[in-house]
Amino acid sequence: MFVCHCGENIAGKLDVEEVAEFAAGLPNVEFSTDNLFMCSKQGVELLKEAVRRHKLNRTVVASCSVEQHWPTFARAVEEMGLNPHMHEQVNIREWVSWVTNDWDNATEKAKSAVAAGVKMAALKEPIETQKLDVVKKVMVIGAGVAGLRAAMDLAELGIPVVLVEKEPSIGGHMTMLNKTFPTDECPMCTLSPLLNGVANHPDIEILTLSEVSKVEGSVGNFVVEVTTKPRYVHDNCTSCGRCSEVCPVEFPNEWDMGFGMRKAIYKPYPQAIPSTFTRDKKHCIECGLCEIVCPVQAVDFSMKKEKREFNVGAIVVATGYEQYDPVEITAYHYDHPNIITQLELERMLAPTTLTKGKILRPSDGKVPESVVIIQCVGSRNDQVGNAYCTGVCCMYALKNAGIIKEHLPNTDVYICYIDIRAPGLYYEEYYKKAQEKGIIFIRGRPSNIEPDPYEEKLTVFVEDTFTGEPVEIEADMVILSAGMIAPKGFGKLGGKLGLLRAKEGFAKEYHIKMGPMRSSREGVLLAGTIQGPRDITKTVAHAGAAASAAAQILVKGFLEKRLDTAIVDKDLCIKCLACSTVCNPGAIDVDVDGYAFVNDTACKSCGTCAGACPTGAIQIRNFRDAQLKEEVIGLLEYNRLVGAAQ
Amino acid sequence: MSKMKVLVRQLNGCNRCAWHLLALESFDSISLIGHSLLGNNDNNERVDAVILTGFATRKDREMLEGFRDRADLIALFGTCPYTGGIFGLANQRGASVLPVEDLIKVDMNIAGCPPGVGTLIETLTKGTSTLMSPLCSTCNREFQKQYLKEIIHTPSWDDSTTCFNNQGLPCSGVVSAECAQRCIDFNTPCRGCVPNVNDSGPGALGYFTSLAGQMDVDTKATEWTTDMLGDKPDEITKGIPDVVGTFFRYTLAHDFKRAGRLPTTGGLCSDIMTGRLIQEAPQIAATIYGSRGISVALTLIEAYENAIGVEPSEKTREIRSELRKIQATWTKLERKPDSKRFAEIVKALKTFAGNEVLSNVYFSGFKVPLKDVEYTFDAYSIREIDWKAASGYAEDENCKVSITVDDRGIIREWSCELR
Amino acid sequence: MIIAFACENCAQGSANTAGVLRMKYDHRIKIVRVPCAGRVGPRQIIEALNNGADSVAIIGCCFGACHYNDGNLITLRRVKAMKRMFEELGFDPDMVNMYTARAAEGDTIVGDFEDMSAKTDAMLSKEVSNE
Ligand SMILES: Cc1cc2nc3c(=O)[nH]c(=O)nc-3n(C[C@H](O)[C@H](O)[C@H](O)COP(=O)(O)OP(=O)(O)OC[C@H]3O[C@@H](n4cnc5c(N)ncnc54)[C@H](O)[C@@H]3O)c2cc1C
Ligand code: SF4
Ligand code: SF4
Ligand code: SF4
Repeated sequence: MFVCHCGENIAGKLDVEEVAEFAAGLPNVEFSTDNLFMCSKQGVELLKEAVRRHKLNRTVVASCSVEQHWPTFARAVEEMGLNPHMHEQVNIREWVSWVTNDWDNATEKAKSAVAAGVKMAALKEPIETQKLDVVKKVMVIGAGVAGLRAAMDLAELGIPVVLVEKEPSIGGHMTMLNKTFPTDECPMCTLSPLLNGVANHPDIEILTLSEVSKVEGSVGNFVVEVTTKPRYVHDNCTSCGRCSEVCPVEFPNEWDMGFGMRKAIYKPYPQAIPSTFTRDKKHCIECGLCEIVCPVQAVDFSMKKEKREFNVGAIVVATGYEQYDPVEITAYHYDHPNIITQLELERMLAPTTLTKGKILRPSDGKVPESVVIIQCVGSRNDQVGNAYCTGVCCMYALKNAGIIKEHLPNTDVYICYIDIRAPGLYYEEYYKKAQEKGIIFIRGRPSNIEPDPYEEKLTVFVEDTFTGEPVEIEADMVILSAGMIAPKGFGKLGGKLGLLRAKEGFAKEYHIKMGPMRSSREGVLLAGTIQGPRDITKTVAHAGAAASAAAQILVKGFLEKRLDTAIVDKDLCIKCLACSTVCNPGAIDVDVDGYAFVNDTACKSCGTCAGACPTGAIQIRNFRDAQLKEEVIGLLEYNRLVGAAQ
Repeated sequence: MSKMKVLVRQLNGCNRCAWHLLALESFDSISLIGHSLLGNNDNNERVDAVILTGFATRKDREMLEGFRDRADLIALFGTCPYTGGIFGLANQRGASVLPVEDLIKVDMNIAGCPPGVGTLIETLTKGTSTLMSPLCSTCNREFQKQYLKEIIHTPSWDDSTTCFNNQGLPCSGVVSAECAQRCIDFNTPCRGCVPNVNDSGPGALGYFTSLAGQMDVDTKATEWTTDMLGDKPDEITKGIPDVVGTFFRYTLAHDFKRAGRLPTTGGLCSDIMTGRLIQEAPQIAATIYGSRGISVALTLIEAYENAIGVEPSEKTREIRSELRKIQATWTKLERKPDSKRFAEIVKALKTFAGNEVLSNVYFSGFKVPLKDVEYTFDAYSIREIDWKAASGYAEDENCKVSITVDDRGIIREWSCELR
Repeated sequence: MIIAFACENCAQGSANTAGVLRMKYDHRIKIVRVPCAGRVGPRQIIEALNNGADSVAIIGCCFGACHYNDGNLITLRRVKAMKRMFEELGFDPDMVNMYTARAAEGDTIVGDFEDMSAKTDAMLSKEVSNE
């Protein structure tokens, strides 16, 4: 028994010596002392020396929290040849000295905590760690730039990857952009090498039109079921495009946000990977022309939905983001043809679409004389439930405003903003450059947009918060900088993966500073915007971190698992399976005789099963009913004795 | 081998177990020194074994210590001396029912309400108790691994294959051992008269409420921006209106060490009956009223039937009158207790009521077909019952019962006058 | 005495944070470490009361944010039934309560503790006045 002063932190608030003396009188206590700083080198030496001299087989240190110094002392006893779990930590700092006002009360409380710790120490059981084989393969879900980067990084380390994408082609949002800030490069040019690299990598298997339908197992050994929708075109498609030419059905292309057209058998865009065409069953009228013209008989209407199971050691979730749908903000009349979002503008600006990259008013094709860009649509807005700043919209607004100004120098371009956020290298510089381009900045969030009932014109109402004056701007086009939100279907996938989600809908990171690429579940990593909005630079860095965290689990070939898991006493088990019913990770199976049986790899040691077991047959090592009982008795007994004496 | 000198002492509560122990007379290996039902011929000599039945209270300490000093072996027969038994429920209203073990050291427990004398003999000869199999392992019903969708108060009468707990009806089979009464054979969930584990009440409660882990439960926001469990009624409190009587039916005095603070209703039995679910009442009455249990249970059934306007069928009434005949025989036998004639009573009870605690006897009819009656089951089976708040009265030659049930199905007022 | 079962995630985390912030609370609160609120069942609650605790608090992560998914939600049902049980025994249902906390915010658990000690005081004074 060692009672730590922690300098004045403990000793300044309660009588450390009295506590140590009290401990010396408790049953099973062979040696008890106090020390200035137990965690110091001298303190640890003192503990080791005592273990050696008194042949101690269990140690208790009353000092700070388990999180802080249990590992320190556990390592020390391990070095002395004991199981590290033979050390019991009692927290008399955070839970006693720092939170109790009164010297006597604090001393008494520390004593009862020590009494409980000593009782608990006597009952502690050694815990072994087990080496578990891991499957050296990773599933990456979502093939945006994040998913691609993570897949590539892993494959280059020699770890095979299954890349699952729900759309017919890979690349995600980045492929839809016209230019990328802060260099105004062509995104397809920067992304192509990665796209092609992934597509051709021998260690990467790409599954498009696919979604995860079931997840079982745990870190090191997940079994994931993937459901693939039929493409109705086999892989031998040479991408000649004849089917598309003959297809009589034509309608707006989703990928172009309606600024381009496509057929019912199509490729979203010319460079799309995989290059195989896709038949869209919903719009197809089943005329069969494509089947007839295909020179290699790749079109096949009889293809069926397929389910496949994959065994993987880790999962990287890179399902990206969705653009906020401004329809919700009725004052902005998003349904008006001349009010579009930034993502739509990106498509309009692209040379392959209907306008051939020209900026034209959608309703009548007129060259706009005045364009208003509105910031923070669906971001920084408590009313729609998104208090956060997307952090990217200011930058792409500057980018696109600049591009409009370059194309149409005589057009007035306004940006209505709350603040311009351009932190980091080259970003503020980018802002400065935009200012020089003659863009008109108005600080204020527009209250509403009024469409003119007779003309195509729009009027934007905004209060300029610098002057305090209300301003009305006539506009031919309004562009809404809609924020980034979590993909709408993510709840379901998150549920299957057992991930916690932040209230904003994104996947919750393990720790915002120290583990932004880890999820709440071990073995499931987060890459890119699924963890929160960010630009491509940060997405790529985050994806690399996720890949390396996934590799970390797998490269050794085994995991070390602390076996402080649940354990079933067959003499008591009545095979009722209540434990298995409540076990969320599904760690409890049935053995050949029908008894509950714990799968140590999957068990997370939560103990929910123990509370459900009618007979107490299932217990968590070191948190057994009997151990908790002794601890509680330890805490209460001392006070009862003192109470009786008074 | 010399005969074992045995003294049988009934402490408090019903005396059904003592009736069973009359059978000890007929065992060659035993010499019965004294028996509470046979008058006192005990002269304070040293004995090999004292067998205790009934529950203890603090007042019995001195007497029990006396037994401890005189006997080599103290054996408890029945659940009452072991855990306080069903009478422990009176602790809800401040009584001090205690397990004998809280007062003196005990060597053997033969739990059951009532248990079989055979088990006692076996234990006495072997010197240790034999391991009993869990009740569930002897039950034909099957548990499906799933959370509950509802909590109910009567089983689905035509389902004999789904575990009661699965149906949403708490069954303490999971914490109990195989027993002599086997309520589960009569479409009646186990209430745990033979605990198989040391903390059966908390065990069964934790089990059932975990299975209810997806039912609606009230939560509320706090001023310090967190959430906490709320106090409003929800599916849990509505589903289990009598937690104590359901999960702690036989073990309250053993499992929970604080005397309850509800005011007493003035009598031990009415303290136990008040607060119980009407659906469970016949069996409880049959148990606690001991040698008058048949009469009280039937009268209580009739009182509630009168109150809600249920007419039992002619055949049902016929079988009930058979049961009243058994009651009459037993009452007569009280004047001169006799083990052989009592064995006949028990046999007859099993024929017409399933078991000694009348598990098969219910409102409006019987739960499962009786073995030795000629009629088709339809003629005396349970009819649709509309459980509702009601007050009713009925009487027979042994007792007058009046009962008030509230809208949750809980007995609010109970009186039973024995003649 | 108040026994407070605290889960190793948010509840113990919050108690540590409260300590670091030197927030003060009732010295009668005795924390028992459990991996998850789901570990606590009627056995633990009844044992604490049988051994002299005045009341019991169970503190877990926010509902819906249990680090083990739903351990705290299952315990919610257990505790609700226990509250009902204590009421049936003529005790104050506040003899047991279930709370949540957030690891980064010490004031959340201190709020829980203060509430529990106020409720315990109210309960004890009612008991005294009944006697
Ligand atoms: C208008 C606009 C302009 C922008 N301009 C720039 C810029 O100039 N510079 C810059 O750095 N950043 C810019 N960004 C930000 C940039 O788009 C993102 O940072 C980047 O695309 C994020 O990549 P990601 O891989 O995380 O997500 P995504 O690109 O969204 O990729 C996610 C992928 O996952 C797939 N997926 C989703 N759900 C599932 C599922 N359940 N199963 C399987 N697959 C699924 C999707 O189909 C998609 O392919 C801009 C954003 C917008 C809205
Ligand atoms: S402790 Fe029990 S409930 Fe929790 S994960 Fe392990 S087996 Fe499942
Ligand atoms: S809950 Fe307990 S008794 Fe039931 S199967 Fe699991 S371990 Fe066995
Ligand atoms: S709990 Fe009851 S109904 Fe279910 S298997 Fe066990 S004894 Fe049978």
